[in-house]
This record gives sequence, structure tokens and C-alpha cells, in this order.
Amino acid sequence: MMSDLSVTNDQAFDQVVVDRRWLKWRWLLLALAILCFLSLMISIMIGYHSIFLVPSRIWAVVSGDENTSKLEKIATNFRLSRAIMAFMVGGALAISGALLQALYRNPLAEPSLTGVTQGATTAVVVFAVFGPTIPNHLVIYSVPFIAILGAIISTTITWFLANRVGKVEPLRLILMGVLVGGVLSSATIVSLIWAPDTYANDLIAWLAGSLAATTWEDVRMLSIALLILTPFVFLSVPRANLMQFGDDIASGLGQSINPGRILVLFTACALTAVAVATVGGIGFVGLMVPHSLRWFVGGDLRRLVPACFLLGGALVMVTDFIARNLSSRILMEITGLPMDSVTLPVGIYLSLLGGGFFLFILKKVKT
Amino acid sequence: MNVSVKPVRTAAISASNIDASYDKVKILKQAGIEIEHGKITTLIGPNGCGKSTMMKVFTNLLNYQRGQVIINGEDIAKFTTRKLALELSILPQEPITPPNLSVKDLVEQGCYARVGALGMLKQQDHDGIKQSIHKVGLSRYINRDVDSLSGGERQRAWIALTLAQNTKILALDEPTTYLDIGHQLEILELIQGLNKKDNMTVVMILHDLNHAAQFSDHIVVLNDGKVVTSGAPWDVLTVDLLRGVFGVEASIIEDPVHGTPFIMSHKSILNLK
Ligand SMILES: Nc1ncnc2c1ncn2[C@@H]1O[C@H](COP(=O)(O)OP(=O)(O)OP(=O)(O)O)[C@@H](O)[C@H]1O
Ligand SMILES: [Mg+2]
Repeated sequence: MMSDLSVTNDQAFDQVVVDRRWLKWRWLLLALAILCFLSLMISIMIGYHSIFLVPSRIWAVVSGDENTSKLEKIATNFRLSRAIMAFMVGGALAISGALLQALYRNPLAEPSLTGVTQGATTAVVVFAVFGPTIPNHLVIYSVPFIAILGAIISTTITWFLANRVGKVEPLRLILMGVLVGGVLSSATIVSLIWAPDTYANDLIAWLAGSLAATTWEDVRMLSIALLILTPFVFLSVPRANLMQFGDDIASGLGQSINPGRILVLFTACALTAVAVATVGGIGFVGLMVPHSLRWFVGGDLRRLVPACFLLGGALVMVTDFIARNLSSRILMEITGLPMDSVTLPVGIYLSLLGGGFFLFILKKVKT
Repeated sequence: MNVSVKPVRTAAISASNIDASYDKVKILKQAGIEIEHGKITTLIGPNGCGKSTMMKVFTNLLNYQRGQVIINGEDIAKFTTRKLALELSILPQEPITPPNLSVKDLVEQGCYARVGALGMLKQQDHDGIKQSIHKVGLSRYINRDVDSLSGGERQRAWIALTLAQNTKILALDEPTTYLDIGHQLEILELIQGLNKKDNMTVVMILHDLNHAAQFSDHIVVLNDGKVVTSGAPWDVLTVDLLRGVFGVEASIIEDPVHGTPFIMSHKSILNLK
């Protein structure tokens, strides 16, 4: 038997200079970037106000050309801010999911299934209803902090409930996540009873995960938040990579377990919370996106996370495009319900899509 | 005047009077072990006697209640996780293989302690990684998913990871489980080669006593959380020991090729009830 060990002039040894996965990854990133750009263009060109904008008109508005109609200005601003928002929200949620999956060593870990999302939404609602009144212009910048705090608290509770038997088993974690999420959702609904009518409706619409009310102010807030969180993502990726191997190996490779865990958990919670703070409870992006990418780019988070950002962004952008353009007439025909002049929020579509995806993965995980 | 003299030669790892427990159950009782530089030391003992626990203690994966562990002359408590990972690498008994990770992705993680978290973001140390993969003979599979490899190939991928860590001390918990006899020997010869050629200090846990006899400079026998005896294979492996610790009637002959003890087990005298 000529064993591998005795092969000194190993051809494969020289060929490995080309690392196929990283090469494939570069092409994928390029393709995803193009996908994002196309989704962005389509999102701006077609939409509400029934006005079709050709790219040159969009450019005219964006570059501040005087020679544009008011309608063109409104349409471009409205659609552009909404598309950018969708992109950032999707990217943040997808990265959060990828980090949670590594941290929990669990393919089902997802912000909305591990109590992260509900922690954030509940904290925001409870604060809005019972919290002190804060000046209007500060609301938008204080909500993210409240959401982050809520996400961290409920994630910690979920963790301890799931961890009681010594280790965190995949299905037990999801069970506890759903439990904590359910309790928090009830708390949210109960809080809404106390909410003044003036904004109870706003809160309900926000809870369903909608991008309809996006303003440039929201876009600015979320960009700042994501910029601040970027270094945290960079620090988390290599650590989360090691966590996939379990505590013993991670520690043996030189990673201090608890500081690393806290950092990754914080980053994942904060990413979800800032997204939730602006658009409400959008679920399943963190499940679908990393999963679809993993078989293609592999489980190494150094490749997975950037790809997640782009695909998550594209997914929410495209879904939101569909959500706001699917006319109520079509919805009426599909559902047979009187839904005249109703557009469903993007969160509903993503939940439908994600629910199916979840069942599909659940089948795979069990076997 | 009482001047304490530093020993001329310090051990690579020295653990003394260790008491360690999981929750409330005491597993190790006053156990001690010395691992010499540049030698292969093997821990043997029946299932559940505390071999893995001992290894966890001297690789800082488990806190102990009493005793002292000294690595390269320094108390283990003085090491940060990262600093310790520069001195010694560990392969646990049943490592978790995450899905969709290529051999190269896996082995690259071995550089973590040396290049740090942010260094890992760049791809570094390609040569070291390729060498490690080459040494275990997995170059052909460098782009394959680890979880798609056979048990033996996977085990070699894990060993490549510990090699990529580039430490002087290697701690392996049952590196030959799941392997057929050919691949068992292949791994053990690989380990022996690392010891002879690269002068690595190896401490491992084995169940096959004949392999322990053939490949070790030093054998430590554990039973019920205590070290029963330790020393060179010929001194340690006796008919009495096999009867007392492992519960087998056996005879021992000399291996005609290696000159090491060779155990022929005849009959269990364990009373499992
Ligand atoms: N994580 C744990 N929690 C509680 N008890 C444990 C744990 N790990 C091991 N034990 C117990 O400690 C004892 C020693 O375990 P250890 O893993 O050290 O045995 P071992 O000598 O390595 O056995 P084997 O040859 O089967 O690997 C066993 O009785 C085991 O049940
Ligand atoms: Mg063991």
C-alpha cells in the first residue's frame, strides 16, 4: 500500500495554491453584488404612484438636477430610501442568523426563533407604552438602544433555560426560544391595550414588520448603527468560527470562551435589534440566507458573513418590492378575501417563505 | 541555609496531587503525572477511570479543586488561553465536526493563537497549513468537506489542525478510535515521526495496550482516578497489572520486531455485576 504519507512529489500539494472555495466565493460575491444592484434599480424604477422611472431620470433626481418633476422626486426618494432600508435590514438579519448558528452550534438558530427578535420588539413596545416621554426628535435614536437591551435580556433568558441540562441541544434551544418569544409576544399584546389609540395602530403595523413608513431619517439611523457594529462583526467572525467546534477545541486553539461568547452574542443581538427597531418584527431572514449559502460557500464564516450581507439585503429588497407592488386585486383573487387597497407588509411574506423553509430544514436536521 | 535548587531539566507537563470533579462527583483523587520533553507518554486505563479528565486538567479545559499543574516550568494558572495554545495543542476524544467546512478551512483555524482573531480574517500562513495537511496525507482532499470524509480521514484532518498550531507539545485523546488496524498504525507512525523528526512532546490516551507498548517511551496507568503506576513499557505492563486493573488474564511476550512487550489476552475476569 502506497500511503499518502510517503508521497513526496505530491501533485495535489502544488495544486492547492488555488483554493477553490475562496475563488468560488469571489465569483459569488460579484454575482450577489450584481443581484443587489439590479434589485435596487428595479425597486426604484417600478412602484407606487404608478410612475415608471427610467435610470436616467433616477440619476437626474439623485444628482440634484433641477429639471425633474415633483412626482419624480417623491417617487425616487420614497423608493430609494425604502430599498436601501430593506437592503440594510436584510443584511443585518442574515449576519445575525449566521453568527447565532455558529454560537449555538445549531442550524436552526435564528433571531426570531431564539427570542432575540421578540426581546427587541417587546422592549420597544413596552417602552413606547409605559416609558417616559422623550422628545420626538430623539425617539428614533433611542429606540435602537432599547431594542438591543431587550434582545440581550431575552436571549440570555433563553440561553439559561435551554442550557440547564449542561449543554444546549438544537431542538431544546428552539423550543425555549419559541417559548420565550411567545410569552414576550403576549406581553406585547397586553401592553398594547394600554397604548393610546393614536399610536396603537402604528405599533401594530410596526410589529408586523413593514418598510412602508421608511424615511431618510430611518436610513441614516440604521446606517450609523451598522457602521458602529461593523468592527464588532469583524471581531466576531473568527471567534464564532472557532465556536462551531465546541468549547474544548475553541479553547485549545487559544480562544477564551466567555469573552468570545459575550462578544458574538452581543453582536448578533445588536444587529437584529437595530433592524427590528426600524422596521419591526421581520423573521426567518437569518435562517434562510445562511442556509442557502452554506452549501455553496461552506461553513467558514469569513466567507459566509459577507455573502449573507449581500444575499440577505437582496432577499428583503426583492420581497419588499413584491410586497408593495402585488396589487390588492391579485391578493383578493388569491385569498378570496375583501382586501381592497391593502398591501401586506414585507414581514408577512418573509414569514410565509421562512415557515416553509423552516419545515424543510427541520426535516433534514431530524434525520 | 536552605537554597531551593531548580531542577536541571523541567518536565514539559507536570501535574501533582490533582483532585478534580464534575459537579460533585470526584473523579481524580490525588493523581499526578510527569510528561517529559521530547518523549511519547501514553495514558492507559479502563473506561471511565479518568484518563480524559486528567488530560483536560493538564490542558486547562477543566478546573481542578486541588493540586498543581506546571507547563514548561510555569504554573498553568499563569497562562492565558492564547498563550497556552502556543505551547500545547489538544485533540479531544470526540471532536465536533461542523457542517460544510473544508479540510483547509478546518486546518487554518490552527493559526488562531499565533495570528490572533483579526489576523484570521486575512488568510495567513499558507505554507504552514499546507505542510500540516501534507504531513497527514490529505493534500488530495484539501477542498473536501471534513464531514464528507471517512472516519480515518477525518481523524487525520483533526491531527493536521493540531499540527498547524505549531506547538512543541501535542495532547491526543484516543487518536486511533474509529480507525482500522492499518490506519491506526498509520496515525501512530505519523505521531512517532513527529516525535522523532520534529522532537515534539506527545502525550496521548490509547486503549490498545500493544500499541501503547510499541509506541510509548513512558506509560502511565490510571485506575479509579488514581495513578497506579508509571514507567517504561516493560516495567509497567505486567501480568499482575492486567489482572488487577483491566481484569484480564493475559500472558506477555516480546514482540519479535520491536522488542517491546506484547500482550496476549486470554480471558476476562471482570465481574460486571
Ligand atoms: N462532563 C461530565 N460530566 C459528568 N461526569 C463526567 C463528565 N465527563 C466524564 N464524566 C465521568 O467521569 C468519569 C471519568 O471520565 P473520563 O472521560 O475521564 O474517563 P476515561 O478514562 O477517559 O474513559 P474512556 O476510556 O471511556 O474514554 C466517568 O465516570 C464519567 O462518567
Ligand atoms: Mg476518555
